[in-house]
Amino acid sequence: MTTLNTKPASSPKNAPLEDTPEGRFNADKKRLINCSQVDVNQLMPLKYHWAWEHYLNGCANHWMPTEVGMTKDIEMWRSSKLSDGERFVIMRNLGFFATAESLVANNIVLAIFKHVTNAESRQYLLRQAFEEAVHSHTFLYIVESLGLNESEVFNMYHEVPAIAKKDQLEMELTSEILDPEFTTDTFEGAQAFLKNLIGYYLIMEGLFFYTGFVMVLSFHRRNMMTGIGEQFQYILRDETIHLNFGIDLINGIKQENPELWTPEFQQLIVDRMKYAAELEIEYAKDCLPTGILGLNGDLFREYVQHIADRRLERIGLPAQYGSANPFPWMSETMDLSKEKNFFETRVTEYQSSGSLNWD
Amino acid sequence: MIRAQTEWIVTKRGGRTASFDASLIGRAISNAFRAELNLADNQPLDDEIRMEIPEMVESVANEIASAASSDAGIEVEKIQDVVEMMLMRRGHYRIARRYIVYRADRAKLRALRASTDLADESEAIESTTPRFHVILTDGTKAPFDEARILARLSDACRGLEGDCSSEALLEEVMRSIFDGISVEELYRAMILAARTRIERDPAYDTVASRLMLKIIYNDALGNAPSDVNELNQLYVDRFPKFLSDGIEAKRLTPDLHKYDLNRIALALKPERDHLFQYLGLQAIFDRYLLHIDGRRIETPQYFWMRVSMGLAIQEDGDVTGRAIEFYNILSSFRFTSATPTLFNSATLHPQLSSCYLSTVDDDLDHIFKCVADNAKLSKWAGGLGNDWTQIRATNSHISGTNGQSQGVIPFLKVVNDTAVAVNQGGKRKGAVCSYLETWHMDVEEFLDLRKNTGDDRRRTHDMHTANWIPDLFMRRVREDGEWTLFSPNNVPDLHDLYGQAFEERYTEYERMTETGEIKLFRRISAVELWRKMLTRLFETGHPWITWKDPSNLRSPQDHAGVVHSSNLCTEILLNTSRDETAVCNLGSVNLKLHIVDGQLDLGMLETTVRTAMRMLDNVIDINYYPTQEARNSNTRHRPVGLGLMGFQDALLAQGISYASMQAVEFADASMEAISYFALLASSELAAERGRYESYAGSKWDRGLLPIDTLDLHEKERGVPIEVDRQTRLDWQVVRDSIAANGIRNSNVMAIAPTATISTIIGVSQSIEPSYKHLYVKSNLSGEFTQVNRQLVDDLKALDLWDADMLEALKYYDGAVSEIDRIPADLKARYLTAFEVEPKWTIECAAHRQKWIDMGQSLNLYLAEPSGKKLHDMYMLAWERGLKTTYYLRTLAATQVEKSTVDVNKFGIQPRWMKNASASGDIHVDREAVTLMTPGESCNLDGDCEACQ
Repeated sequence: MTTLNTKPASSPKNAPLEDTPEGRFNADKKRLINCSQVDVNQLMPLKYHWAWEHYLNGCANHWMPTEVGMTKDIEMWRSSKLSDGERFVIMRNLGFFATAESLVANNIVLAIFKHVTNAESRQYLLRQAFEEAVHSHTFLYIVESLGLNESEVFNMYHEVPAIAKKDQLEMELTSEILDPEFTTDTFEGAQAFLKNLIGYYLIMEGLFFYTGFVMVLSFHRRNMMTGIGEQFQYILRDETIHLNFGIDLINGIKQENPELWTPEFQQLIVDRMKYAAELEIEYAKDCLPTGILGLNGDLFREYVQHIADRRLERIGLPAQYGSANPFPWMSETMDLSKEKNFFETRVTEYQSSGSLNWD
Repeated sequence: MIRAQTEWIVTKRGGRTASFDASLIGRAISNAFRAELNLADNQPLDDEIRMEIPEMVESVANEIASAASSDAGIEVEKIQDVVEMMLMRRGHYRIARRYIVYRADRAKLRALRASTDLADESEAIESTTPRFHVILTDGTKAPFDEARILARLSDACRGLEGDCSSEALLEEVMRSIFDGISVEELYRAMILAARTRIERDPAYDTVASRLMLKIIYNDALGNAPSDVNELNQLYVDRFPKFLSDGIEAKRLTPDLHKYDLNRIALALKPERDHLFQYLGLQAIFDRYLLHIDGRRIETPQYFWMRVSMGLAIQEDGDVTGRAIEFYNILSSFRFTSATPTLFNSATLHPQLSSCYLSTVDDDLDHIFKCVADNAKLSKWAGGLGNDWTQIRATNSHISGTNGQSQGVIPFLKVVNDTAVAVNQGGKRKGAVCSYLETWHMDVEEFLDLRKNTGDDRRRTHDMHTANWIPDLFMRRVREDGEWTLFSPNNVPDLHDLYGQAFEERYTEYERMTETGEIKLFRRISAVELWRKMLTRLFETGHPWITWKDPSNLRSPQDHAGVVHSSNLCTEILLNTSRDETAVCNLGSVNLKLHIVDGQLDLGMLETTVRTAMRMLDNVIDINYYPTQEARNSNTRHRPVGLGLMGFQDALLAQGISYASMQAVEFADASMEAISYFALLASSELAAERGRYESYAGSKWDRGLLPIDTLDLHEKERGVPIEVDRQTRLDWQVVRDSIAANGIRNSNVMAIAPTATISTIIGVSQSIEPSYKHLYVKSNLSGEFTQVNRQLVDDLKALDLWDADMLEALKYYDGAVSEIDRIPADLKARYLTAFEVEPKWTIECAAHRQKWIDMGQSLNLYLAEPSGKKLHDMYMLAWERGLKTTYYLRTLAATQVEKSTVDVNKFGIQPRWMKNASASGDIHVDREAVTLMTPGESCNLDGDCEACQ
């Protein structure tokens, strides 16, 4: 194994505090991974202000699933207004997300956290892990509110092949890091770590989640199952930060360790993204054996490719497909600011007060 | 041998052949350019490109000449490959890429729709084996007929062809449908397709409306003729059937037979259906048009007429003439009655009032009576305001059981859950706002009611809350003084006092805490409580800030009781007591429509207001009162709430920015005029029908108009209210009329939020600034894109409305200030709510408040709130003498990633990020991206015909 750092790997705790005359550290010495000079317990002074900003934004967006009323959804779920195909789509997506959020949380807590050697980034990871818990809570809340068969929903991740394959791809990444021998001190280890980050942030949260979002929001667009739709809008807002933090972290590690970003490695990532896109297309088709208004399986190929391109570009890799978003209506459900009629819907835009400044 | 182009043969998929047509190649290339340049449907290409296209076509033709001249002809696929190579050779890499995508798209579309292709009409007709079937209403299957869909879409686009493309709509429809789709879903898909394109051009809104009208006509009239004369005839002919069906189904009152139905039917103006924008039609379709088992029996004009007939039903004399007078005002959108009136007029349960206000006594029986009343009142679509201040606080003594009270909070939870259980007859969510005065010992827990953390038994997620704040508290905040909290059972008269009398009594009670006469109390810093109030408001949107003293001191009915709270929307300020539940029925003038040639048309406004006041006054006698206390109050005092909407649109129509002195001036002048005509009209009604019962001793009786009461308030407050007292009209006329005739209504004006009715008639909400210029309106009918048509027209005039502009507008969240291409004068005029400094909305409101006897639902907007800004804003509102404020609107910290905007082009880091990351160094350069070899991404099944 080639060693990445010139200094021998040492526990950050025992790192010599030699950088300033007082024995205090200089924020410049902070590094996202393999930081041997700064105690990871020391948050201030900050170096990666973006990580802290993501953390604050996450806090300001705090929400709980129980705030969203499910009465209308329950009414609709028990009525004859939903076709079998529509029920199927909803069940499939609940099945995927119910477990996916836990996978992400576990990957953060068990795999990533230990190897990110920077306190402000860790601060965000802790926030994110909590948000994953809130999201898992949300799926439990939905399942319980609608009186769905919980064992059906929560077992889909191994019973439904299209879901199992996606999850398999992710779980392998987690296991790789969980190996007791794993270290980011080696070139291969550091690359494997990047691969994990890309696999979770760009592929799992950035690609695998998005098909489900479209399907669920397509109901919202038709004013159906709006409670679930609203829950998903909250989740999507959180996921947007997860993704952006992940991208910043990946790009940050690339910048600090440019040698990792070899042409071969880039090709590997592109190939993985393409493979993941195929899995996602399969999943979409599996969810939509029959059509429902506004959606059909074929359109998802284009959509998934569109999202995959977007993700690749954000870590400096070339777009592969040039596909357009085939769902222009997403502009209405996702992109545009919403003015809510207070009589009729809940306003989701309030922030937690955190740091109101009175001076 | 090279033959002439006309003799060339092109082999299409399936082996069919056709003769070569060079114009099809040109069309495909120009489409690729348009796609790349983000041009709108009707925008021409640059001359330079337009000139180059024939060259490119020629170059392709030369290259294929020999193959095309052969007896077997050339495969269409081959031609496309040549086009791609040619584009790349000429350096048009991005266009080539678009072309490839375009080919792929075409292939996909074809796969979707079996064998037809838009580009080739003749083929559409040839198509014989559709893959899709449609399920008809009776359950039978019919083959999908694309031509019929296109015909329906083209019909809806008639006259708008310059801005709208029925073919693009068809494509969108084709994308979203599936085998076995029902007819209703198919019609819905057509509307959804049009909706999707509204952001590109507001003309698609008209298309969506027309499609919606067809659905409505089919339901209500049994047919939707395209021919105008035929439709008009049908409209008149079917009217009697509408009435008899409605009466038979017990939707309408049989009293409607008293009208001259022939005259009524002939007064209908079917062409006014086209005044509606799409969202308005969708809103009335979903919830307002009467239906029998889901089939709408009303058209929009039947709806207005039904409402008018219901409101005129107790008129003396020419009752039919009155109904038509009302109809003309309503159907022209000059004035709109509030939602409950629109819902229930002329039905068997004419509960027409919007708001109910009650006060709850500190007595278990009365508490639960009020909860039950809430249920009854909201069943019929009324909004509720409850005053809970008199309920004893936590730890106060209960003499009956010798126990200690749990205070007011647990009861509020009951109120919350009652509102959830009763959802306004399924049409609107039950809605209630609970008020608490600021000295109540439970006030801090009251502030927390909407938090999303803490004990959920003490949280009310579905209920609104508001602070009822005495002026004395605000002065203590200014002086950084202390504030004492009491349990109301120890200070029983405090809640009924205001002005100086309150101050004297309150300080007296404070002394009693020092002498030990009052043991249960708490003393805290006024500033700290105030900050907590603002913090909760910021975090949870609640409780709202409303002020007790101006609400009472300026109340015309100060001789007949006390205003204990406002209502659900903080605009109604009426007395309540154990015996009286205050009722208010509302309606709003559409100010925008009264701007004629750039100024307010006073004559037109006078006519509108006179008729509107008559309609509002009629409601009181027709109204179905769900409780006796409501009937008591309304018949004694007869209050009505005339308001306005379209204020922002009226400013735009005059070219005025909301953030300007002209806007303040207009707010002042327009409200003065409305007030003038409304008071005059009510006084005239008093001459005709008599003054209201409790008139004697009222401010009206004492000769005090709203403009006169500002000084009264200022005197009691002891702090100057800095609003000028200027008048423009001859108020002596109004004073004389009231002195002679009295007045018909104890209260006349209140500005309601008009959330739904402004949507129905398609004007800006109430007195709100534009929320955004491109945004989504979200309500019970769903979510709907709204574009500022006036801005789009202005941009079109400057040749700036194109796909890039649309994308930028989306990226910048519907605001124009950061878009470089937009000229400065437009930027100044087109501010959005978050860009207008709150001082302007407050000044406008303060100048309106001069003339209004009740209040205004005033939303306040803060883009980047800080504690200081919140403090300054609310303090200014108080200093200007405002009675109430409504929602505080702020922005979420972050947003969802935009899916239909090319966000990477704008930068990898999201717009809200203030700190740079390594991602900021990544720039997407698509030119440099290696292109795939032709065919690779195309993934074609060998039948692409994009250029043939």
